[in-house]
Order: sequence, then structure tokens, then C-alpha cells
Amino acid sequence: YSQSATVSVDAKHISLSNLFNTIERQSEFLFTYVNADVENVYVDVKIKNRNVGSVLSEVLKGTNLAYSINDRNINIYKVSSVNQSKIRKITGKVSDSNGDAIIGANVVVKGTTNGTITDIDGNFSIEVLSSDVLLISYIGFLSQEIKVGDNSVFNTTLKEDALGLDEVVVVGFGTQKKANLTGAVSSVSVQEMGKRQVGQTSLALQGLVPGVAVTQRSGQPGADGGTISIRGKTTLGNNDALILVDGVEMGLNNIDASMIESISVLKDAASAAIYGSRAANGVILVTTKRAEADKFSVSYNAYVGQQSVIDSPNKVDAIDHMLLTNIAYTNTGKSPLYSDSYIQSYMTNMLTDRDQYPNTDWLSETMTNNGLMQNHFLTLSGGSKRIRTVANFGYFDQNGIIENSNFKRYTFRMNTDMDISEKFSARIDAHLALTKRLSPSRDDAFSWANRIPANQAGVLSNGQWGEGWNGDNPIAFTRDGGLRKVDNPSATLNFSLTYKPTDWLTVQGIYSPNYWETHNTAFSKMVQTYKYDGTPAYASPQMSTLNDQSDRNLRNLLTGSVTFDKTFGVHGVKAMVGYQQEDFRNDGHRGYREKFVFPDYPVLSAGGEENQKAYGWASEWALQSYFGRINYDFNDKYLFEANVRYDGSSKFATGNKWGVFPSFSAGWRVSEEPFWNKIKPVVDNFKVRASWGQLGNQNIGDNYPFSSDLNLGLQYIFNNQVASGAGITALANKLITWETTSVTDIGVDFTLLGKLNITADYFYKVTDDILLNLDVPLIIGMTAPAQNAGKVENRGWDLGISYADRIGDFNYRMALNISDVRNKVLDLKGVNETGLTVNREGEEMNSLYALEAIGYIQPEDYDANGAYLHATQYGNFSVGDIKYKDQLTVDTDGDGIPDAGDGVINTSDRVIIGGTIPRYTFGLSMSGEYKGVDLSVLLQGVGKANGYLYGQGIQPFYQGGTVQEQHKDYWTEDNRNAKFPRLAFNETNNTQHSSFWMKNAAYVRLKNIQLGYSIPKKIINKASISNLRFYISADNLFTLENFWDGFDVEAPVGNGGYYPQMKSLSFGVDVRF
Amino acid sequence: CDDYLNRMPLNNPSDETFLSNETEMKMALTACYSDLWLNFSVMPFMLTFDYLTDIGYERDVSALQALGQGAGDATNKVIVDYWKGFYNGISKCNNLIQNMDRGRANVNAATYAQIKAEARFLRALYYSYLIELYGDVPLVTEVLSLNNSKMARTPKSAVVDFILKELTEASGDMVETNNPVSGHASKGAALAIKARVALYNERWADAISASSAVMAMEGTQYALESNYSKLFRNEGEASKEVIFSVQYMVGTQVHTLYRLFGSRNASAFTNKKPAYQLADSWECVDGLPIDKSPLFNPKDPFKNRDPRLGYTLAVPGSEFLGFQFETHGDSIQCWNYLTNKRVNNLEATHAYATFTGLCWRKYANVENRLASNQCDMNPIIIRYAEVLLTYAEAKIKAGQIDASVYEAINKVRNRPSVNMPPVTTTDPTELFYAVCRERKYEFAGEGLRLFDIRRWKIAEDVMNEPLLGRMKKAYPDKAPRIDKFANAYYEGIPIASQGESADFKMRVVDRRIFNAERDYLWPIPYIERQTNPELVQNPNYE
Repeated sequence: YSQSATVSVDAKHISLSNLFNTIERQSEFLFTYVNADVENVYVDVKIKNRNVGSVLSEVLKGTNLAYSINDRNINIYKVSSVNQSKIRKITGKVSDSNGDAIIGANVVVKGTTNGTITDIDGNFSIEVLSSDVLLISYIGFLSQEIKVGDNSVFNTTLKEDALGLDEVVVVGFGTQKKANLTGAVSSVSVQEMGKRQVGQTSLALQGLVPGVAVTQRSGQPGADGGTISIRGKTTLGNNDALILVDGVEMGLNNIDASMIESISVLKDAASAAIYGSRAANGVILVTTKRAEADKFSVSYNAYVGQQSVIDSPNKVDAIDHMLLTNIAYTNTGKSPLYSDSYIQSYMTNMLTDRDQYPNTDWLSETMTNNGLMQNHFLTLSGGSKRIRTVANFGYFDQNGIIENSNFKRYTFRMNTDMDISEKFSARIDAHLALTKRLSPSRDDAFSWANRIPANQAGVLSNGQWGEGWNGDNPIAFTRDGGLRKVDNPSATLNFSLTYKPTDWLTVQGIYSPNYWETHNTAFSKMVQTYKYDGTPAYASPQMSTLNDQSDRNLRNLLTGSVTFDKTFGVHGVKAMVGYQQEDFRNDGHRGYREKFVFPDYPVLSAGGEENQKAYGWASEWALQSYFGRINYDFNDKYLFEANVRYDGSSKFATGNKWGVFPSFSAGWRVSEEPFWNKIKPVVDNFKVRASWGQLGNQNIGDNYPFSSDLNLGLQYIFNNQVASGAGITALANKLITWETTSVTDIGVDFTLLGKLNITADYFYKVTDDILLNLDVPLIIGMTAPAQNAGKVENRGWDLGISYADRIGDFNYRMALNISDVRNKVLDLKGVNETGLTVNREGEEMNSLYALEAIGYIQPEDYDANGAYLHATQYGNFSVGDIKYKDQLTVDTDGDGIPDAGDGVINTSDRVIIGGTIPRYTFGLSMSGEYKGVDLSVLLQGVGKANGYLYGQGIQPFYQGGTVQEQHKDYWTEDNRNAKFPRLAFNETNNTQHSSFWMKNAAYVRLKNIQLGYSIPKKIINKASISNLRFYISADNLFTLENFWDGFDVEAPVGNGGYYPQMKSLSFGVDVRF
Repeated sequence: CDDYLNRMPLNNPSDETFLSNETEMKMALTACYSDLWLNFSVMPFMLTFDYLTDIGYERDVSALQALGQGAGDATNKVIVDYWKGFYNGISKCNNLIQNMDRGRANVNAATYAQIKAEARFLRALYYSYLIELYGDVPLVTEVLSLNNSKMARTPKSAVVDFILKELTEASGDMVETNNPVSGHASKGAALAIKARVALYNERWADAISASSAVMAMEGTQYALESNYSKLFRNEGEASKEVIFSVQYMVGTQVHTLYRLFGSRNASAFTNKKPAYQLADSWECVDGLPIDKSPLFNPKDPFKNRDPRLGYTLAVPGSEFLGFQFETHGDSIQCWNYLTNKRVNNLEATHAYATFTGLCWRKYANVENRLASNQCDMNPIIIRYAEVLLTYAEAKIKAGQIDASVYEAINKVRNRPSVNMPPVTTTDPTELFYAVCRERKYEFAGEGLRLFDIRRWKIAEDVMNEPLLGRMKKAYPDKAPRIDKFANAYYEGIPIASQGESADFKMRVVDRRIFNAERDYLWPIPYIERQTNPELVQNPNYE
């Protein structure tokens, strides 16, 4: 910077301190000096567009002062007259531009491990030589370097880092200054992440990163994480981003958000290419907190919260159910199910005899658990100069809203850094986690509670379980139907050894074994239900069964790399080569027994000997890669990067195993050019970036798609004995090989007025040779293999804007991110599968494929003789039913273009009615702080999306079920614009998949609002507490949407029978000693 | 460095050397049989077909119900699953038949021939269902790969030729001994299926010769079961009348027929209901239809009737699964024979008790009461009575009416537990109708009705009628009209119209639509036409 920045000053007899202020105003330079040194020194200056170095040389000539420039820091010091080699003690105070002390700032002697941190008052003392340079740094502030010289008191002001240009961002196998990034990389600050009181860390990313869409489809404890998709869906199979925690693949939900130091999201191919084989869906790099030298700290944070369901269907009561059922029966020409006299006696008797005349609110009687959650997190951090350790303990406990629904997570992480010698250093990290998920053995509680009519008994007055729906009673089986326990212990170790023979060469080796087990015990307990007279009705299930399954998984990751990093004048060169291999093996077994005489002992040996079964399995895969990267920058202005990765996968046959994935990117920091100077005061920073690269994907469920092998599970019974059979049930595909995604990205980063940061990217991705289990002719009689089947494109943009400023004591920050992606299937080898969500050439992936609803059938649609005037529909359709469009499928004039309907509504009339991929995902965060009180708000939403519900979730009387209050707005002659069609029982016309059941799923949600108060330091310091903050926080408090009543707008496409999403209110405390 | 990346399956052996010895061949044959477990919602496939006809009603809102209502299309789950299921079986048979030569030297010739013959039998059986349901189908006789799987449909007659030839040849190598619980198909099974396929496709000579060959084994291997109802209970599984059945066993493979058929009182769901019209089909014991017989009493309509009515259906007033079965709306209590107590009668009060006033009795076995999802009674694919009636029908159609025809029909009517008077008409047309009626009386509930109403072209008549249930508090005061096929028509009997109470009118349980221009065949599954453009759709489906 100092090479390019110029200043102009014209002043006579100006004090040095005024001169420095003038220069500071014109540039990004920041002067540090000891006031006493420059007092009473006045100079005459007349310069125009001169390099600051030459200016200083001139004005300081003849004084006893000298200067040193380090990037934007200029240090003015007295020319020493004392012995430079004498060690002495200096003191100082570090404060921010308000004059408030900065606690915990790092003060180190540059180039050594000699360092300290500032105390509660911002003071420090350290032993130095006069020739030393002090490096003072603190997160969020620009670092400063000060020559020691003769001074012994150093009162320093740190300037806040509004631009964040010096911020170091974690990228693949290394770090990069944000200013020098050439790819599309977003980083998330810990402060932002930490706001959300969510058990699953994946949710904490929601709404924070442009281009990253996090969707939460369930509220079940332990299963309520979000699916993260980065810039849309590139493949038809697994679209999950690769998540690496300190370089090791790990589920994001396995770590507590409090452990995280930073998160980087690598969005384009150029940034992600170094992870080649599995980075096609983007990469999320998580860096955990590490300890600092000579600093001991203990911190504890905790919250307690309560969750409640966001939305739940409002079902009709018993009497309404019967009345409406009769309407639905008679509407379809059937005789009424309930006689008038029966309904009359029901009304009378239900007040006194709830057993025979029940009126059960199935949902509220099923959702009886308290939804409480609590989280505790303790960090101990400390170390000497040579060895530094941080240890974290986390405990999270979350109750569901149905009985026996709970999630617990215990985490322990210890990160140790060792400086073995000057050249050797090591890192040893250990991460242990145990998650325990508990749920009723049956996972269909909501499905049933949504479906069962109120006139079925749930709990009888004597405490016995009522019949429910033919024995399916969600109240009973959530409380008494046995448990499913999923225990997931895991251990991840990370050994890394770094050899740095010189300051420009680094050799690193890392070995990371990751071992985890899954214990899945599902005890399905017989639940006896009773008729109203106390006699046994149904038992469901009819016998108790236990499946006890254990899986052992080991993944080994070995990485070696050599990095070269050197600056030759204005040429910065960085080069890296590396090798990586990864292998995975799973071994598992399962035992089964049935008929448990003692149901309180759900262990295998307590079950009956008859029909006991044992199963076992194993599988493995391996990956091998060679990779390299070159970075070149000219004068920090022109930036260039190239990556290449050569990947091999065991999932492909010999000859098809290897793929090459290159990438290139370049950046130009236009604002560093001399011609930019004029607009520099407005646009302080401006960079354009472009990248292109390719990524591979081998992620298919089948580990051996090339191998034709025998299925040994095909039994039959001969002579009342089971016989083992074998056959080929899966088609093999020896030709299968890598799927390739090519990504082009163009982006700009700029800063306005030093406060407004804007990052914008446009991208275009094409995925070729997509791995897909394409439908094959069923006459083959075997299941379809994965094939390199087609081509999908994604095009879109990301925009991130942030602004931070202060008004007096009021600090505030705002950040907005918005992104869009449009997806299109280009080629599928012509095969179009059927179903509600389909992949069609020319359309978005997973598009909804159904009939086009065009209102209701009205009386005018029939002629005088009662004949229907339009295309024949399904079953006994009638007035008030959904009317479908007869698509043009018949070519009457022989021009090859269909121009007429075929007069009947059937499969050929289905069309793409909409996509399911959210468009215009956005997040807006605002936070402010005033004298210890802080308030933050996160709004998150989707600008355009389609939601789709069907079945018992929304369709009246689906499969003999019941209706909701909203269904009372049904079609009649007098209510022709009703919300729902006429009531009909067991008729198929209205339950066909159609655009009628699709709803706008766009929304804006108050994702989080949090109010906190930090106790003033003067008070807490007496108790040796350095920081104490209390807060109250609410998640998902409010949503603006227009989706179906009774369901959250993020409801998955389905019948609504899923565990609903939660809102929560929490109270928390952060304390640091 | 590829060693690190060479990872082969750890669970399953490669198929390259498979079928090199007897054990492997037997395992492969076992796999061919396993596709007989094809089912729809845990109901054995062969019993599901009656719910697509005038005699049965599927209460669940399912693909089966939609198909019965005439609302099935090319994406209907039954249509897709059965196509796929039968071709899965055919694929396994093809692999065995095509590749077993690898191990020929290691197996004795008779065993080798028998294994091959059984695989050919199963393949022919799977094809026999495919052609009756879908018409022309691709005739796949070898293992297909992605490259050669785009086959066109083979004309049904050519597939029939293939089936008849295969069964003729296979029958020569199959065991003669009839042991239905062995699970293995015998010579008689091959010939019986051959007779059925020939009859369905009007190959009268083949039908006569194949059924005659089975009838020649009467007494040694085959016989009519004297106790008709025993055939549909576990103790009848090994009856000499059963020619081929699908094997079920608790712990390995079960079905839920008790739950599907049984009554509410007996802790079942009655998902599958017989039409009330069916109950009126059976003759009175004098051999006359109920609209003609003086023995018929409208006030007590189930008295003096062909005993097979009571063996096939649970009718009001009978004992069923341990309870007095009574569906009259005022019968709010009934007798529990299991506890010998009067209990509340759910058949009268439960909203989802049978809608038609009847239940299926065949295959609803009281021993499954406490484990209604764990039934393992072997459902019958073909039994000897069918061979006799096939013989009779083929002889009549071939114009060869002689004493053996009467003997075959009357053997079925005269078995000890049935004892119906003999058929004596000499008019060939009347005699044909007598066989048609006899098939309805004899096989109702066993899944054969769909193929009969299709081949006799009466589906368009019977399927466009509303499916009826009993009057909730009465019986019709006269018999309905019974036609030549023993179908009942309720002219002059009150039927509840829209919104009316069904207390004293016949209840409308379901309304069906049958399009004669379309519904005599199922469509080729939609997805199959997407992956294989060579397949032409059946008329009027798209």
C-alpha cells in the first residue's frame, strides 16, 4: 500500500501531530508515536501527490525522529541513543478510538514467541530490546507495529478494521488474506453464528451466507438440523456440501457452535477444487478455537429454552366430523355413515360418557411433552509459549413435544499446539462426541394424529388406551409403544506435524482417523387397546419386537503437503503440492427377537427364542488424490491462482477410476491502481474476480456399482422350512465413472466510504455425466444401476452487503445477503420417470409434475341433459370437484404439434406445475449495542418457492380420515369460490396430484431476536470476572407466509405427517473469567 | 497404486461362477420361487383380483380401489408393481435356465432336469398372469442387459404358444407326487396351469388334453376335498385338492388375510368386503336360483342355500371367528362364543364395520385372532375343482358334450360338504352358463373372477352397477333378478339414493365405471413406455 498511496499537504508551521492527522485523513495510514517525542516540533510542508515515505524522510530530517512503515502502519520513534542490546521493561495501554481499554489484546515482540496480553484496564508490560518491534493485535481491529526505540511507555490506539481486508480467511489447505482472494469464498463470524439458540449447528448458518440455503424440514430433537445446499443442486443424488472441521470430514451437527472460531464457505470451483473429488456441492471449512500463549481463561455459556410448535392443523370435533362425513358420503351417492339419531345421542352422551362417545383432540393429546432444552458449554484455555491447549466441554439436552422424544449431545474437544523446536511444530486435536437420540419406536405419531377423527377414543376414563384408528393410537404409542434409541459415539483425532526449515517452505503431514459407532435399538412394544366397554380391541403391534443394530465405522485420512511461499520484490509466489488418501470401512450386525414376555427388559436375550435372527454386513471405499496449487500476485494488485487435482475412486472399475479436475482464477485489485485515487475516498476498495474450474463427484449410494453380484437374501419355504436362495437382482454398470461439474464465477468486491462492504458474484455451473439411478426397462427384472446419465445446469448470483458504524456510544451493524439460483435439467438420456417430483429435460430438478387445476366444476359445466361438457375426469366426479385442464395432447392437423385435448383427464394431462427449489433466499441481520445493552435481529426468507401437501395433511377425508376446521369452507352452490372442493368420501378425483394442492411457500421469518445486557466491567471486575452477559433470545417467533394453514411453510413435500418445526424462547448467560 | 483403490464387495460373491453345482442351482431356483410372494399391501397377489370385480370391494383408498372403480391409469401402483413383480421372477428364471449349463457336469441328470423344469414352470406361470392382465407383453426368455432391453410386445397368442409349449415340456421332468406343502411345483401343477391358460385363450383341445391328464391322476395324486371349507384353513394346506399354492410361514413370510377379512368384533378390520350381490348368487339347495326357488325366504335369505355361500361368506346370523355375526342395525349386542358372554356388537355400531353386511370367511381363520398380521395359511394358486370345471367348459365350447362333462361338473357340486343337486340340462348354451355359475359359486374370493368376467365379456355389465351393501335394518322383501351368470340385479328393490338413509334401502357402497373400450386390459406402465419406446400402449389409455 505504501508504495502506491500518495498524499498532498500544503502547510506552514504545522505541528507534527497535525501533519500526521492530515495524512491519516487522506490515506489509510495510521501513525503511532509517543506524544512527548513529537511535541513542539513544527515543520513547513508543500507536497503534491508524493509517496508518504519520501514526505516523511523530508520532514523528519533534522529532528531526532525516524519512521518505519509496515503496510498501513507508520511508527514514529526517537532515534535511539541507548544501548540497543539491553533488555528493559516497558509498559503501555491499548485502547480503542473511544478511549476504552481493550482487554486481552495481544502484544508480542515481532518474530518471537515473547508476548503478553492486556489486562482488564488495557495495560501491559513486557521485556524488550530497543531494536524490537512490538506487534499489537486484537480481533476486529487493525494490527499495529511499533518500534520500541527509546520509549518506555506505549499508549496505543487500535483502529477498528472496518474493511476487513487484512482479515485472514481459511481456504483449502491454508489461509489467504481476504484482499487477495480470487475465488468465491464467504466467511462467517463467530459472533453471528453464536446468536442462534439451536441444537443443530447447521441451523446456525441459516440466513447468514449468500448462496447458502439452509432448509429445516423437521422439528424432531436430533433430526431437526437443516439441509445445507450451496448454490443450488448440481447433482440428482446427494447434494450435501462437504463439511470439514479442521480439515477432517465431520457432520456439522456433531460440534457445538461455541467451539467454532470461523467458518469459510467455498462456493466456486476454483476455491473448492483443491478438495476435488467431493467438493462439487461446495465446501464448508470450520476452524475450531485454539489456545493462545501465556493466557489462561475460563469461560462458560449456557442457555435454557422452551420450544413449541410453529403451526399445527386444527381438526374438527367429533360431532362436526360425523356431520361432515355424512355430507361427504351423500355427495358421492353413498348412504350416510352416521344416522341422525346416532348423532343426536352422541351429542347428549358425549358430555357424560367420553369412552363410548369420545371427542379426542388427537394432536394436543399427543403433543404433551414440554419441549425444554438446555445447553452448557465450558472452555478452559491456556498454555505456555511452547505448548498451548484449549479444552471444551459441551452438553446439550433437548426434549421434544411428544413423549419419549429427546436428544442429548455430549462433546469434548481438545486442541493442542506444540512448538517442538524452531522448525518443528505439531498439533494434536481430539474430538469426542456422544449423541443420544430417543424417540418412540414408531415415527408416525404425527401422521396418525393428523388423520384420526375426534370420534375415536384415545384414552379411556379408566386409563386404558382407546382404540384409536384400528389400534393405531399415537397417544398410546408415543407413551407406551417402546423406544428407539440411537446412540452415536464418535472419536476424531487429528495429528499434524509441520516442518518449516525456512520461513518460505512448509512441509506438513496430517493423519486423521475418525471412528464412530451407531447403536440403533428399536424396541417395538405391543400396545393393547380397549373398546369403550373395557374389552380388548386391537393390539398394535401384535407382538413386541426388538431390533438391535450396531455399526462400526472407521475413516482414515492421510494428507501430506509442501508449501512454498515467498515474495520476490513485487512478485508474490505461493506453490503447494500434496497427496491425500482416504479410506472408509463399515461393519455392522443386527439381532432380532420377538415376543417379549417381560417388556421392561428390551434386550435381545429377554426375547423369545423362536424366529430370532442375526444379520451382518460390511463395505468399504477408498479415494486417492494428488493435488497442486500455484498463487501468484504482482504487487498485491494482480492475483492469479491455479489448482489441479488428480482423483481416484474405488467406486469405479479399473480404467475408469481416475479423473483430472483443474481450475483457474484471477483477481485485479483495481483500487490499488494510481488512476483510482480520485474516487478512493468514496470507493476505498474495488476488486474484480473471475474463476473457472471443474470438480468431480463419485458420491453414489452403491459402493460397487461396477460389480455384478449375488443377492443372498432371496428365501422361500419348502416343506415348512426356510430355504436360502440366491439371484441377481441388481444390474451392474462397468462403464460408470466420474461426474464432473464445471463452474464459472465472476465477482466484484468493493467498499464504499469505508463502511459499506459489497460482494457480488454471478455463477454458471454445468454438471455433466450425472450419476443417477436412471429408470431402466422393468422387463429386465433387476434394479437400475447408477449411470452417467445426464446434464444439469445452475445459474445464479449472490450478493452480500454489510454496513457497520457508530453514533456516539451506539454501535450498529447491518448485513444483507440475497442469492438466486435457477436450475435446469439439460439432458437425461430421454428417460422421464413418473411420480409427483420428477426430473425432466428443460425443467428444474425435482419439479412437481401433476394435473393443472382450473377451478371447480360448476353447474354450468353440464348440459341440459346432465352430460358433462368437458373432458372426463376421475371416478364419480361432480359439481364442486376440482376441474382439471385437458392438455393439448392430440395432433389433429398432422403438423406434429398437439392442438387438441383427448377428452379425458389422465396421465397424459400431467404437466410441470412448478419447481421445489427455493429462489431468492435472503437473510437480513441487524445488531446494535449501546452501553452494554445489545439487540440483534435476524430475518430470513425465501422470495419464491412452491410448497406441496397432499394426503391426510390437507385433503379432506383422505383415506377415511377426518377434516380440519378450514375444510368447512367447501364448495357448495352458494359458495362457489370456496377454499376447498366439495366434501367427498373415497373418491379419487380430488386426491389426484394437481396444482390445487401446491401453495406459494415464499416467506419472511423473524429467525432470531435477541436482547442482551453485559454487566459493566467496573462491577464484575471485583469478582474477577472479565465478561458477564445475560440475554433472552427467541427463534422462529414470527413468519409472514401464505402457505396452507396448520403447517409450517418449510413443510416437506408430503402428507404433512412429519415432526413439525419449532419456535423457541431461551434465556442465556455468557461468563468469562 | 490402484491396489489401494481396488475394493470389492464384502457381502456378496460375484455371479461369474454361480450355478456351478447343485447347491447353487437349488439356491437360484429358490430365488425364482420367492417372487411368488408378490403382494399388494401384504395381501398375496392372486387374491387381490376379486376386488377389481363385481364380487369384492376394497375399502382402503388405494391403487387397488382406484383400479376397481375404473380410475386406474398407467401409473397405478398395482399395474406397475405387478408388471415389475412378474418380470422380476421371469428374470431370475431366465438366468437359471440360461446359465445352469455351467454346472451341468456336476449334477445328476434327473435333478438337473427337474430344477430346469420347475424354473420353466414358474416362468410360464408368471407369463400367464402378465398376458391376462396386460394382453401382448414382451416375451423375454434370456437375461437382458441395458443394450438389448428395448423389446416390442409379443402378440398374446405367441406368448400363449410359448407358455403351452414350456409347460408341456416341463411337465415331463417334474415330480408326479402331489405334495402341496413341499412348495415345489409338480407335474400336475404344470398341466393344470396349462389347462387354465388354454381355456382362457380358447385353445379348447389343449385345455381338454391338459385337464384330462390331471384328471387321470385323480385318486392317486388329486381328489376333491370332502370338507370344502377345510381348503381355506391351515389344516387344509396339504389337501389332495390343492395342486399349487404359495408357501407362507410365520417368521419368514406372512400375510394379513385375517385382518383384511375378519370382523370388527374379532379384532379385524374388514378392509376387503364381499358385495351383497354375491350373497344372492348362490342357488337354493334345490338347484334353483333364489328368484325362482320356492325354498327362498326373503325374510331369512341365507337359509336353504348352497352350503358354499356359508363357507365362502360370513352371513348375518352365523358364527364367525368366535362371535355371533350380526349386522342388523339394531343388534347392538351379540354372543361371544370365546367367552360365552353377551357383548357389545361392533358389527352394528362401528362406523367401519363391513359396509355390505357380509364378510369373507375363506382364509379368515380364527387361530389368527391374536396375531392377525401373522397369518401363514398358504393361498391357493390352483386346485383340482378348477381343473374339472376347466375340462367341462372346454369340452362344451369344443362341442364335445358327453357324460364326462356332467361328471366333472357334478363332482364339484356333489362333494360331501356341498351336496348340491346335479346339473342335467342338455342344452349346450345352458350347460355353458351352468359352468359359468358354478365357477362363481366355487371360486368366489379366490381371485379367479377377474379373468372370468373379462373372457366372458360380462365385465361391462356387472362392473357398471353400483356395489351394494345390505339394508341396515331389513332384508329386501323379494329376491333380486338372477341372470344366467348368477349375477343379481335389484330391479324393484329400493336402493338408497344420494343422501338417503340405508336403514330400509340397499346401501350403495361403491360406484364403478367400466369402459368396455379400455378396461378389458390394463395399461402398460407409464414408466415402461418411457424407458422402452418400442412398447405401444393398450387402446384408450393415453
